[in-house]
Amino acid sequence: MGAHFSGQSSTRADRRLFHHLKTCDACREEYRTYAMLESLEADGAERARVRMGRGLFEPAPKRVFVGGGLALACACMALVFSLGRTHDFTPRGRVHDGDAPMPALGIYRVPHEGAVPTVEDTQRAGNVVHTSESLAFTYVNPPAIGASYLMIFARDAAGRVYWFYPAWTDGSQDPASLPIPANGAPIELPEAVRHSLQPGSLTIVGLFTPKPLHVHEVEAAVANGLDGLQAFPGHVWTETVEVAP
Amino acid sequence: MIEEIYRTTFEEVRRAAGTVLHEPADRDAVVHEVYLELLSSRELRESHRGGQMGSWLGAIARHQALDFARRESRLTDLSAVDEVSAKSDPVADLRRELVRFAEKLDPERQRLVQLRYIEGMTQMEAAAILGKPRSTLEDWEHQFKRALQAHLAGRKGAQNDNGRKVPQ
Repeated sequence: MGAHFSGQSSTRADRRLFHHLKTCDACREEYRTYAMLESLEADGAERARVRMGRGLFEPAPKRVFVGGGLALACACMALVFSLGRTHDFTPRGRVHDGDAPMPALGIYRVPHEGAVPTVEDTQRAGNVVHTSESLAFTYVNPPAIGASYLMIFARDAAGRVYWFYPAWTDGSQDPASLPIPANGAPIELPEAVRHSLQPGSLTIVGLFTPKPLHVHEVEAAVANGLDGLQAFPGHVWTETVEVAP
Repeated sequence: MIEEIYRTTFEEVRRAAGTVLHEPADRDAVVHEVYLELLSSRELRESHRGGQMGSWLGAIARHQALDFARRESRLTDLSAVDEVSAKSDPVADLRRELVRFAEKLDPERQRLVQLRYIEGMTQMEAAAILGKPRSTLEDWEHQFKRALQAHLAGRKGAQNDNGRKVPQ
């Protein structure tokens, strides 16, 4: 409740809150106190509009184009693609060779705000990213696996999901995975994306699939954890980082 | 587009729901549902045949509020909807309770309550008068709201213990 009124909650949490309020007398009483205090404040009506809007409209992540060169830079860094874990959800009907290269992501932190970042601005993400940073990505899709579509998102410890690719800025839409080539070369995605990440653990997911998926079905699948991704054929790559203030 | 509609119609829709539902949580839950449906239902969006968007959404909110009240048995007399209760003004009641509660606080925090919730100043204005950083007032308010909530819950508990019927 405090998080909702102080602007710290997410769209999903706010939706759960309004659903929960209908059946919980204790929370209704707490809400009443906060709401009436808010109505006494000078800008109470505006604050109410803003906080309730958060439960309706996902905050649009900031997306900026990264200067070319990420893929070239990481082409020399095979290490980049050895980090993270690939979950062995082999496409149905195919036997996976354990030594074959697997689809993977490279994650880059883009610390600069405002100006269009160049490759020199970026840093390979280690174990920690900061709330003020944008994230940029490269991917590799080995021909032996040959995934055709990619989604990149992150899920934090509270279950909040942050979409990087495809972009999802309008809750009434249901965008689909990006089509990707399978040539084995590192390929950079052109935009760095900054979300309002919450401090704590964050798992970044690359979902490589033979067919396009949509954000709604993926969000539903991961509502109770990333194990839900096993419902989809393809390969799941993950890396967990710590988000610091 | 829908965000713009939300921005311009929010107050009217909230007021419409509030004429039926006086409990802030119920009123805001209905307002939330109205806009959520507007976002997700093309059928609803296409059913708007022109005219003031705020009035149209306000009518929907009022209708949903009445449904909600019937469903949840939150109103015993639906004919009393729109009648302004002369007996009780919850905001005035809260102000009185605030003043009583503030007497337990130290003088600076008492002054904060006075400036923010009785005189209706912004945090910036109150910070300037108190000579404190706005972030300090933010912290104080956060602590104060939690303490007030506990105080009100305690009072209600005491009232219930004194023989009032406890709602099930």
